[in-house]
Amino acid sequence: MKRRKSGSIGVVIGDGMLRAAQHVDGRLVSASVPADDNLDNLKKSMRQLLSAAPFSGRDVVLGLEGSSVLVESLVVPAHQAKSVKSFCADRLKGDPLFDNTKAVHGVSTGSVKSDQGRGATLAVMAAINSERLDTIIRTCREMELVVLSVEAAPLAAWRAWSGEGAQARFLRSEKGDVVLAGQDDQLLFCRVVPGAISLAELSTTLSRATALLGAQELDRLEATGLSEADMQILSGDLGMNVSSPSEEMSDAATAGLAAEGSPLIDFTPPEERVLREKRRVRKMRIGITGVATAMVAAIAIMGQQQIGGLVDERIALAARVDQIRDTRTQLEALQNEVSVQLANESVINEARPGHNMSTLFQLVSRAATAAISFETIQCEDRPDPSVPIDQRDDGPIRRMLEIQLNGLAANGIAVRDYADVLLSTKAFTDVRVESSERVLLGAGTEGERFRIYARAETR
Amino acid sequence: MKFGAHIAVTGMALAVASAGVLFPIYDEVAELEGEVTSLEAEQGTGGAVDAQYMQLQTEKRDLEERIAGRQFRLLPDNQEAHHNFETRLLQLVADSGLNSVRTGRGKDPIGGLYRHLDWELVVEGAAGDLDRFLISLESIEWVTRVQSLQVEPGDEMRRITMKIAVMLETKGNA
Repeated sequence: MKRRKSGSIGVVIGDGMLRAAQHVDGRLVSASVPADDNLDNLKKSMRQLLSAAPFSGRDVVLGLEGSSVLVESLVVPAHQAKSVKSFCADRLKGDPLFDNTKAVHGVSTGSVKSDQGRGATLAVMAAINSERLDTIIRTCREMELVVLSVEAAPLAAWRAWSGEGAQARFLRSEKGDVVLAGQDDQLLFCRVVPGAISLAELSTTLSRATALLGAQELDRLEATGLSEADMQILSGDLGMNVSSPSEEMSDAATAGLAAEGSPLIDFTPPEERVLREKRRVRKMRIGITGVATAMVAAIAIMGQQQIGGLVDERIALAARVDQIRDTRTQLEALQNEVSVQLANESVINEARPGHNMSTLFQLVSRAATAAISFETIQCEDRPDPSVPIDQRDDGPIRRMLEIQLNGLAANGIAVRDYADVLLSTKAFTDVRVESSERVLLGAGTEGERFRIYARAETR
Repeated sequence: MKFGAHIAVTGMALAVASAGVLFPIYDEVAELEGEVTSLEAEQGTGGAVDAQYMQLQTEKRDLEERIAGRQFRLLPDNQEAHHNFETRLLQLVADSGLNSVRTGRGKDPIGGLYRHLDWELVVEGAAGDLDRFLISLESIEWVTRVQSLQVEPGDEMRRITMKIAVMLETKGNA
């Protein structure tokens, strides 16, 4: 659904009539309803008014006209220029409706260039009856309308359309006539006349306005509420060009209230300003909170998505890492097995004796002739004593076979011959006859008892 | 309080609230990113494990084939293998014509560079019997070593005392 672009609703509360206008999508929407003079029925009338046309929003700019409003243009003497407000209040002192105690006063001042007001201040004074203002404000609160400002409706009519230079405007309605004059966008003169103003009075009023504004001559009067024929008559009578404003304008007061711009005199009660400020703060807070919440929610959602992605990634990585760990464990076990197998292979290569004991025994036994008889043979396979003990665990150990042969021989020559045969086999690095002595064997037989030491290197 | 101050206070409150919501998420994201980075690093360092494993399996298979092709092996270090070897040893003694007098086995394997288990055999017989025994011992598939050999005169035959070691398989770390 397309959101409509709309401004605030300008509402004029007059005697026996409520009127409203609002710029919606560049078009001025307006409505009017009759209002009971009894203010208790104001709420009902306001509801009828706001439902009488397609108004949008709850922001309203109120304009009061009729008996509850007083508007006057004054020339304040120079000596009282600094206290314009009290000067105006003094003028209304004792007034049954607009006395200081019964009405809210407001003043707008402007500079005067005319000879008539030289050295004086030109002021537009307005007063609104307090009781009526309170009732209207209370009604608006009960209807939950946001009152942006409260003005005197005739003064707000100046904003209905814009112009340049010194201008004069004449607004006619059923309740009365209004004469406005000002420079550019600034309203400097206003006269409200209940009922229809006479031609002579209008002429006098325009002359006074011309004089106050210091304009050379106002040659043009923009008027609303008049027919073409009336405008032509008025033009002839006043001797000046009377025309409608460039924009079509049926109700200048509501159009002025609905238009953007600062009120000339704002009668908004202080408590309503506070409320308005509070509403503004609340609106801004809601807006900021909404934006911040949306941003935080968006970031949180993105964060959660990122977390979800990271969790998935972590799960996948953890599974892969677990797999790698398992493989690593298996690898370590395999490495251990391989190292064991390698160690075994190394042992097979290195721990096998570098000799055959059978061959050695055959060499020892077969080298013996009939002249040699062994009593004991002792063979020891032991590490080479020349290798330090602390180096015996490094690789293949150099070992040696030590052989002790004890026995009897026919004679010493047989012993020597046997030792020579052993040595000649080249299986032994050392063969020594450690002892050889002549012994009596009994029955008159002699023999040679011997002890031979032989050594063979191996691994 | 002015409008700007209200907005500032609201902004501060929202900032604190946002921080309360977002910081735990930020912390969790940072923690997860750290874990993922750590896991990625671990995965990176372990990338070559599969290839290493395959290569080592091939090496192991080659090694096993090589060892299986050898003439000699190491005796498994378990009671059953020890018992079988002892039986085989006594069978060799008997087949050689030697008379077994006494057989003694070392209580535990001996450590060091080459782990081995010792047997002490006391037998009786002639030199030829001993020769046959030694030849047959050197022909069996296990790596053995005669550590000492002593031949003494006996009552009728020579008494032979032998100390024989058989090399045992290396035990792994696991």
